Amino acid sequence: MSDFAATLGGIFSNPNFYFTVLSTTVPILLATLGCAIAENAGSTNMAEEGIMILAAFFGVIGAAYTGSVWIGLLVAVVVGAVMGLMIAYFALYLKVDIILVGIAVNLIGSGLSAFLMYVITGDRSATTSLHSGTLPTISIPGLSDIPFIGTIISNQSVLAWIAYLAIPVMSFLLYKTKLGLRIRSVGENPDAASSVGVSVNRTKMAALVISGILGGLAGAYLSMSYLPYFSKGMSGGRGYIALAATAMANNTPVGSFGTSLLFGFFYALSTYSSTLGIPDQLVTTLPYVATLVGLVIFAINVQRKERKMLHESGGGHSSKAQQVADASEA
Amino acid sequence: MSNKSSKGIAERLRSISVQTRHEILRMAVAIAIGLGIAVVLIVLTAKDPESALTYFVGAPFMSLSYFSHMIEVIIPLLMSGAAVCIMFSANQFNLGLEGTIYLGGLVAALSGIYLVPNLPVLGPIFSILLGGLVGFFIIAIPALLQYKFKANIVVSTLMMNYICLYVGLYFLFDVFKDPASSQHTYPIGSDAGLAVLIPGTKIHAGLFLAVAVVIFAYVLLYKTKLGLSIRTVGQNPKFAKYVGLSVSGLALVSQFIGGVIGGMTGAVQMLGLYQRFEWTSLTGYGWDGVTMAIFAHNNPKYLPFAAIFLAYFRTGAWVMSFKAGVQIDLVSVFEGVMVLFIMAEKFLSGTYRKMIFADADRKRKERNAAKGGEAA
Repeated sequence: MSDFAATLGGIFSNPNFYFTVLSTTVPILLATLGCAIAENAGSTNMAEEGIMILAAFFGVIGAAYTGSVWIGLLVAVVVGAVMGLMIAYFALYLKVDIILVGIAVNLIGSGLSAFLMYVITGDRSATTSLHSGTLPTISIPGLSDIPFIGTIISNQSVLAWIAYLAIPVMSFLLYKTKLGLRIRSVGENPDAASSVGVSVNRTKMAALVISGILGGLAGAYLSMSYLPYFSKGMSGGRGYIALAATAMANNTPVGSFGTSLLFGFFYALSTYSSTLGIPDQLVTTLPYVATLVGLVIFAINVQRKERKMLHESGGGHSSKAQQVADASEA
Repeated sequence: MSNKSSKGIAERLRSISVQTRHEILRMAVAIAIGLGIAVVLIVLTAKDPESALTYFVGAPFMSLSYFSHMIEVIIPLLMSGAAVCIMFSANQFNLGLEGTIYLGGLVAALSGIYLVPNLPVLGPIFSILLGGLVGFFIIAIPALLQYKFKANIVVSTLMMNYICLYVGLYFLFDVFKDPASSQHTYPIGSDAGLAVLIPGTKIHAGLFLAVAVVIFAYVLLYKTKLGLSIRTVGQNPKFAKYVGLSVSGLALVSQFIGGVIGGMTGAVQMLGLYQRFEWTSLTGYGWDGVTMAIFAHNNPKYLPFAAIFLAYFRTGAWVMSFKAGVQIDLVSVFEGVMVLFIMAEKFLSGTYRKMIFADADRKRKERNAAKGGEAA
């Protein structure tokens, strides 16, 4: 047992471990933020998985055929945005249940990417032959000299920086801007929001497009940073994990950071588990079990809050709609 | 006499409500769009589009082995489809079938290896029931978490799927692996597998069980009080509550049944087609169940049609993949597109309006004609 503790201590005192944690967290974090903003608008975006894989694929193709990873990144983002629009169209205007839209998009995403990969490269498993390249990494001179922390944060991909910067940006968007207020009010009480002149569908659509863009970035990270190529099924369930991470984080950006970090941590730990002598499968199970527990705690909290609201005489109920009304008057 | 009966058919056709007729039209257009996209993709990408298309559209009738492949594909589709129909009828978006199928398959395989390797007929039945039991326990976790704490069922079942996968992988690699192999167990006992029905094919006795499960699901949902209650809860929870049904309790029951069928699906698939347990990822049959339920509008009566339809083109795509070099993944695109359009409530809503007006016009004319006849 002391051996085990010593090995574990060795892992935890090694800055490379935390470097891995931060880089495995990136795609989950981006997708989680994407789910969170959609969820704030009252739409469960189950399609992050499909968006990610399509963006990862088309990003690589774009990069390979133009010779520029930046264009690849742009392609991935555009694919994400278009997918977001498509989800919005089917869910909001053609009235398909949004969870079924998600399932269908995931089917289409995994199928289309694998199908086109074979058509374009003649390879069934990965696009290694395309040599699409990776996005640059960033190391800030002053910061990378700091002993422990320097190793952790330097040489992270430019998309990792974007992902971590997206947390405050998303917080600002949701809590300090008019669009954010509309998104939250539409999610909380669409009738009240539309009664004060907010277009519910258009707001939800905006949220879904932003959600798609974040999914696109997550896909780009997978195929142009994390790995230098696209491989079949490379999103690996991260879209579903994102959905769970969002639910556990109560749809807040900062909470999303915490919960996706939890998944990143265990992902990273599972790569070290052979040295620990414990089965990596069981380590990999931990974040999922943690999510179940987190969901229950979250649900109990919600119930408690609802009961409290019932006891108070419903005064706080329309406050958000009132805020929207004030904002649009201003 | 014959005149009378043909008149009866015409009247029956006319008496199908506009809504149903519109649903049929929508389904047909959705299938046409899906097929159209598949055909376009094949024509654009195949080296020899003509032969590729021939295989895609006609493969199951080209040889006995292709036809039997189609029947093999139908078996899990029917079972997981029935499970999802029951759960979705109660409006429960339980997506946990993947996990039950995976562990149901593992447990059935282990039972066939260690518990009943040499017991014909009763052995496989025992293993399948054991698989069902495992499915029950797996689904019970998220279902009870929802019942007790209102934990989000979509998320919790998705998480359960991964927990099942990794727990199963742990048992596969660290406990039950055949040391001589890299990633599978010892072979399943010779009498523990499901019997082959037609020699020379892989069509196995699981087909009977699959048909029985579909009939069970139909009878349960449409011929029993429990089924009526489940459907009422799914269609209108407020009304269900008003008439005194236990909404969350019925949701729970529907998921328990779905879980049992899910576990049995995995067991049947494992004992029917595999010599040893070798699944290292989730199988996808659970998601297939969702697609099936969508095609069947949650009514098990339509599952056989949906299963034959999906299995037909899956077989076509499978044959096309090795005969004409077109990737089988095309099928996912095809099915995803159809799911989107089939479920689109507002799709072709303009046509729906026109159909209603035309129907009303026709009825008014008939009434006027009848009045005119009386007057004369």
